[in-house]
Formats: sequence, structure tokens, C-alpha cells
Amino acid sequence: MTDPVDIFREEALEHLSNLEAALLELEQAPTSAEEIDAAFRSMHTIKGAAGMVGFDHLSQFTHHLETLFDRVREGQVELTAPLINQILEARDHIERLLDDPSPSVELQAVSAAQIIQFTEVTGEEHAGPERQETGHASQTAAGEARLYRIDICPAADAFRDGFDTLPLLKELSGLGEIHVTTRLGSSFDPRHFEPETCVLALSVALTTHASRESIEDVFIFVGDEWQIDITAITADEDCRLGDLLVDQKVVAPDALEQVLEQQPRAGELITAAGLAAPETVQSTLDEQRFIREQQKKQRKATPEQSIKVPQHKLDQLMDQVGELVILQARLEQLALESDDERASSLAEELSRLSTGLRETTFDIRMLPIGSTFGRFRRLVRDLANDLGKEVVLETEGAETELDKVVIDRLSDPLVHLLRNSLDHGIETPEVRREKGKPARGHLWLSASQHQGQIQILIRDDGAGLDTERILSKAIERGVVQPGADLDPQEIYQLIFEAGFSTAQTVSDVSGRGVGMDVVKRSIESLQGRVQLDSTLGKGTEVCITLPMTLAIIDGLMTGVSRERYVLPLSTVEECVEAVPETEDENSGVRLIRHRDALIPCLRLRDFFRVGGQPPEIEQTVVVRVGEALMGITVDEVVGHFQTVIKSLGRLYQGAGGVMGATIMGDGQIAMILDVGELVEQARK
Amino acid sequence: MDDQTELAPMDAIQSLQILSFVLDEEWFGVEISGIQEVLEYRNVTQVPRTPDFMLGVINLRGRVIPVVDLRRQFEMHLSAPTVDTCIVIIHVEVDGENTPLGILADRVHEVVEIDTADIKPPPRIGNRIKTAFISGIVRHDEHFIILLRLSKVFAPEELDLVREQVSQEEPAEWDDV
Amino acid sequence: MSKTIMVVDDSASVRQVVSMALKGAGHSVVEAVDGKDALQKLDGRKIHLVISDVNMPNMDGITFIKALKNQSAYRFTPVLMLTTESEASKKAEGKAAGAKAWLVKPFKPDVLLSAVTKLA
Repeated sequence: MTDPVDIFREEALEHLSNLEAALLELEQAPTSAEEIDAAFRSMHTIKGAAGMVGFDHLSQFTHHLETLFDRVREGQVELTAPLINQILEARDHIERLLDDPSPSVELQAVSAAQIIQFTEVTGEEHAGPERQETGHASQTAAGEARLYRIDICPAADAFRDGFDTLPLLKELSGLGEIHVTTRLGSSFDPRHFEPETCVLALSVALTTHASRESIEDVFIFVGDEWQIDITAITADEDCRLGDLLVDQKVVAPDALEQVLEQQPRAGELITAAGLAAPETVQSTLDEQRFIREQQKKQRKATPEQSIKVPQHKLDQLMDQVGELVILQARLEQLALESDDERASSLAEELSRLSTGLRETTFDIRMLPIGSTFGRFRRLVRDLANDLGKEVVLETEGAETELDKVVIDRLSDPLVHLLRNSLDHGIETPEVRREKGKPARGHLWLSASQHQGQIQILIRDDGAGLDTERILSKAIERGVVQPGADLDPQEIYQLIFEAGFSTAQTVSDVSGRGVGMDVVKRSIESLQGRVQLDSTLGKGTEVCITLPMTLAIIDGLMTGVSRERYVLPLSTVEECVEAVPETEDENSGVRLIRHRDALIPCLRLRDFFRVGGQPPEIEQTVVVRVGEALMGITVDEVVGHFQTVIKSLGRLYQGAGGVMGATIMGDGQIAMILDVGELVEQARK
Repeated sequence: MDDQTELAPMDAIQSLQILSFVLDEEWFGVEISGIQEVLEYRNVTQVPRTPDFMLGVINLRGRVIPVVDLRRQFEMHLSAPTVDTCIVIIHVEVDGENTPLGILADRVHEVVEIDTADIKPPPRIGNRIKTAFISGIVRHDEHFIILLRLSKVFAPEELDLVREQVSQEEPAEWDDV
Repeated sequence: MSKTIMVVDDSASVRQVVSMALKGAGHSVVEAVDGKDALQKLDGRKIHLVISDVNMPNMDGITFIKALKNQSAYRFTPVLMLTTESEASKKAEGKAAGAKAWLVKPFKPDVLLSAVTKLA
């Protein structure tokens, strides 16, 4: 007997009798793990084999039984007497299905009826047969479908190595609804066209119930040179065409910004400006449409459900995740040192898990800042009434997400700044009219995110800051020596000094003994900075820059002697080796040449007074804070690490140039540099 | 709890348990309820540009804990750590926040029980350290034990004082141990 | 070129389908019904490729691959995993254990053969 179909029939009958035996045992002991396993395996084997010999319908049918026993095994479904009866009926039905690879319509109808019964029990979505072929069981039974963008850039050798993208796409489509856009990768050069070289880049929008892991698993066997980026797209996310193009790295962000400044119809403009081929724009437009539709579906399907969690539990979770990340780094190092394959595979697995866990935890903590905006609107309205002023508050970027802890601690400083603007900034309607301004004043509050930083702007069209008055006040208060020569920026900074208040009379609005110094300190405790700009008679703008989270940053680890220092990667421009240096003649500040300009450079060894001898060749990390560039010279650049920020505590509050510490893989501690502070110090 | 030795009226408490330790051959005592644990000396990571009496930080089971060297604060003689050197982890209020921190000790002795009646007020003069830092002195065997008021040692005004010195300070003398 | 390929699957019909396809392409095939059986049948002989199911009685595919990779003679023998779609998570385990590629059942003989050419 060599016909696989015959072998399959015989094998299937054997499994069916195994199933029957198991069911009869289960009738007596419904939780026997051994019997459940046996039943599961019999269905599993029939399913797999049936597909191989062309019994597709049977394969799909047994899939549902397999799922059922899987749920039983997980304890999600209880094997009741009626359910066992149903399964026995299904068993008999399978026997009939064995006769013919393409069963009669009647038999198919029986299958359909039974499947419905089983899916009711398992809670598995009853999808069309073409969908059941792949990946159904890897979906979670319930929950909200999520939208992902998956960017696939196969290695140039992918085709030569015998890889194909189609099976991957098929597998992805098994996870949910997909929309694929293809384009030529950036490496494509028509002058050197080689048919076997893969220059394809794919972008897949996928709506799925499956977990991120399930998506990652699809790509587990592709070559290491492939680039796979999986990004979750939230329903709130703006899916403007321009953003998509930038995300797909078709258009550089700067180029896009320039075009956007010239406004409407971005698609046409981007094409016209020659930034992207019309097809690319079109395919991206398609993708955009797909994402919009999916998002609409998502919004409709699931009015967002939420639960309240006490803050301390979130903090605890974050702490523990932080510990886990540290532990994982230690394990990785240990695995590396011990050269034990099992240990490294464990470490790798743990790394995957902890990365996922960390992302999820972050995600939980992220809230749109808009939740506080509503409160402000009310505050401004009431306050304006009290002060007899007419003020409109306009907000923008309410959807900008940041760490819940940051939002909570940001609330007071923001209230204070808004009060300040209302109290000292915006004039009464009479005064405004005299000055030829509209009687109604404007307050703008906006939040935006770029490069991992959050920027919050508070702007008013009020009186602006009077530098002379500030200066005379500062002299009066002894903050500044009489006759000091200060530029406007320096004078503005004075209002952040302790105990400084510019209001002529202490009103009960902002004159509560808390001044701008408190605002500055609160922002700094959030690792942020405050900048202020003003034009007399026109208005004032306060700009707050904050990190998105206080818990973990991407860091660049550097070393000086045996000390380790971490620079936030968001500030790093580039690393250079042994640069020619000069000294500023007046100040003696060390200067290095960087892209045709001289920039100040600070040698960490000297600045921090680290002992030991510098190596022959030093490394310099060029950092950027706002517009300011600076070099930081270290002994060596160790590499890029996920850095869990630990506070240095009250005792070290105000430690210059350091914003926290982190624990490294070997248990030692590294300082995390406050680059903004260092740049400021270097200026002085 | 901000002052270990002034927990309650003296007449209500008959005796105190204190951990005694030595700094530059002077005996000190801290009431034990403020002590978390005693660690062997381990590498302390310096925090740049901070007062020298703030030695740096250590990793204690994933927490970053500051370590201070009171000898500098008390203007005592410094010496490199030995096998006897310990770090005593205590809890004090710093700026109104309960903060765990480590105190370097040349060596740690036993926990001794002292009669509250035996505690004498600090002498007004002739002390090496500020009277404000001392809550009392007690005789135990042949030693005088100085009972420390840690809340005063770490009071904001004291910290501000040492922070101001930071720019003029020389680097620590035994950086490379 | 003819290769010696071991097929490990508890389903006789799957073994049959796979064997037929492989033999048709000129390869010789060693069949085993589960991991335990496979380990016994290795018997030191030269195997160019192992094709193994995941979910099997007695010894599952993952354990088998690990045991296989622990034998110095088979340390570099490529392994092709056969999975069903409901075992996506096993894929990661399989990779960690040392599998080089995977195929989702059901598959067509030509897909199998192109995978074999790639690996063996």
C-alpha cells in the first residue's frame, strides 16, 4: 500500500478510535490532562495529514476540534456531557468525510452546522473557509484588533538565497486583513540593474487580533540582513500622507516640512517637487486610505474600554520592568562570558520578552496630554472673568502622548504659567484697545513631539516682558549687582530666580509666593528645560522641552578611565576620533573643528576630575542641544544601550551635569549625563 | 522618623539599642530602628562635581544608594578602606523625603543596649564635631559613644553649606582603591 | 545530486507524501515516527537534511532537534521544521533549538523540494 490517501485513511481511522477512547475516559474524568492531550493530538494529526493529501475540507473541519481541545487544555472550556456528545457526533462525521476529498454539499452543510456549535464554545471567530487555512489559532479569542505597519526590506541576496516574500505575505494575511504596498528600495540603481538582486521594499498594513509576537514569528527565519520594522499604529495617530511617506523613508522629513509650509494637497506637491515618484505617492495614498478605514472600524467596533489602576501599581510595574531590563543585561553579559549556547539562547529569549514587556508597560503609562487641557480651558475662563479680561485659550496637539507621571507633574507648572500669562501678560480690554490690539486676548497652548522629545509652548499676545523693569527689580532684590550689563535673554532668565515676582501688586492669582523659580525647578526635575522669549507689547512665549518618559532612554555608553558615562542618544550628533583642536584666545575654551565650524569641546576627564591617564587616541562625541553644538571628549565610546534611569535621590539634587544613574550589566553604576547642563556650563 | 535618639520622652523609654561604629578612632552610635543593614565595603561610583563628603553611589539590589563619608563632614582624618570598612545603610529625611543612604564606617561594633538615664548632653566645647550633630554622649565600657542626630547632619542648611564648597574642593585622596 | 534525508513525522500519510516527493527527486529517505525513533535510526549514518514534525508523541520535534544538535556528528545537519499554523509560537522555539527553516502544512511537493535544494 503506497497510495498516501489510503495510508491517510487508515491512519485517520486509528486516530478516530483514539479520540473515541479518550472521550469515553473524559466522560468519567473530564480534566484528565493525558486524555485531553491524546484527543488534541489525534485531531492535530488528522488536520495536518488531511491537508497534505488533499482533504482540505476535512483539514478545516478538524481544525475547529483541535482548537476546541486546545481551549480545554488551557482550562478555558469545560468538557461537559453535552459537549462530549457533540464531539462524538463530529467524530462520526469525520469518518464520513474520509470517503471523498471533496465532500458532497450535504456533508459540507453538516460540517458548517457543527463548526458553528464548536466556535460558540471556543469563542473562536467563525471566518470564511479561505481564512481558516492559515494562522487562525494564533489569534487571541477576543480583544480589540490592532493595526500594524510592517516595513519589509529583504536583503539584496534574498532571491539568490532562495527566499521569497510571497509566503510571508500569505502568512501575514492569515493573521488578519492586510494591505500591501511595494516600491523599489533606496539602493535601486537602473544603471546597474541585476535581475537577481532584490531591490524590493514592502510595506504592509495589517489589522489583526494577533499579538506582536505572532507577527514577529512570521519573520523568524528570514535572513539577518533583512530589515523588518513592525510599528503599532494607534487609532489616534495622525495618518497624513506626508507622515506615511516620511515613515517609509521615501521623503526626508526636512524636505517634507518645506513643502508643507507651502501648504495644500501634499500629494501633488510632493510629486511635483520631485521628492517621490507619482506611483509611490499613489500607493501610499492607497495605504493611507486602508489605514483610515481600519481605524474607523476600530473606533466603531470598540468604544475604548479602560480600567483604573492606582498610580503606585503602575510605578511598581515600571520599577520591576526596569529591574528586569537590568537583569537581562546581566544575563546577556554572563552568557557572553561563559560562551554557553544554552545560556545565550535563554538570554536572547528573555531579551525578546523583556523588550516586549517594556514596550507594553510604557504604552500603558502613556496618556494624551489633552486630558489636562480641558481643565485648563475652564481655569482660563474663570480666571479671565475674575480679572475682568477677555481671553480665548486655543490648544493644539492634545493627542500628544507622554508618560502619565510627567503629565501629572506638569500640571502645576502649566497652571502657573497660564496664570502668569493671564495675570501679567494679557492686558485688560481697555488697555488693549488703546494699544490698537483686539480687545480679546489670545492664549495658545500647544504640545508636539519630535525626536523623542515633547515640546510644550505657552504663548500669549499680551504686554510682553519689560526688560528694564525686570532688571531694576532684580537689582532691588539683590539678585543682580547694579550696573550689570545683561542681554535680554539673560534678563528673562532672572525671572526664574528664587523669590522673583514682576507683578506690581501681589494679586491672589499668581502672587502666592510661588514664582517662576518653582516652575523651573519642577520642569528640571522632569529632566526638562524652560526657555522664554518675549517681545515688549507683543507677547511672551514659554517653551518647555521634556523627555517622553522618565524611566528608560536610549543611551550611548562612553568611558573615561574606569568610569562609565551615558549620553542620551537623542542628543548625539556623531562620534569622531582625534580631532584637531585649538583654544579660544579670550576664554581659553577648547575648540574643535566640526563641519567647517569651530565648536566648544569639553574633556570629560578634566571637567569631572577623573583620575588616570588619557589614551593616545581619544573619542569625541558631538552633541546638540537646541541649536548649540558641543563636543564631549571621552576615552572610548562603548556602544548603544537601553538605559534605565535611576534617580540619584535628594542628596544629589543639583549635581552638575548629571541627571541620574544607571546600573550596568556587571552591577556597576554609570552616570547619565545631563547634556543640556553641560552645554550651558561650557558656554560660561 | 527624623531623629533616632529623640523618639519619645526620655523618661518613657528606659533603654535604647544603638549600633556602635568607629570613625577615625571616635565611637559613634545610631539608634537601630533607623538602620536598614550593614554592608561590606564595595566600590563606590563617584558622582562628578559634588562635595567630597558625598562619596558617590552604590548599587544595592538594583537601587542606587548614595554613600557619604562623615569623616569629611566632621573634619576627621581620612584613611583608605580596609577589610573592616563597612557601609551602614540608614534612613534619614533629606528635604522632607525619606532617603536611604550609606554611611562609611571604619569598623562596626556590636549593637549595645544603653540606659537612657546614662545619656549625657554633649559638652558645649571641646568637640571635634558640631554640637548640633550630637544628641548625647554615653559611656559604654571604656568608650564614650557619641549619639548622632543624623537629621541635623543631613539638614538642608548643612547640605547647602557643603554644596557651596564643591567648586573649590580637591579630589578625594584615595580615588583609586 | 542525491541526498540522504530523514523524515520524522508521526503521521504515516505525511511521511508517505514527503517521502514520495523526495524519492521522486532522486533522494534517499530514512523515515521515523517520532523523535525517539529518529534518534535511534540516526545510527551514525550520513544525513544531509532532517525534516521533522513538531507535535509528536514520545519525543516532540523541538526536543529531538535539541538532542540531534547535541551529537557532534549532526551538529551542522540542517533541520527543516514542519509546523501547522496553530503552532506559530513553536517556530521561535524551533529556531532556538537549531532549525534552519520551516514549512507550514499543508504544502505542495514543489515547495518542499525547493526548500530541500536550499538547505541540503
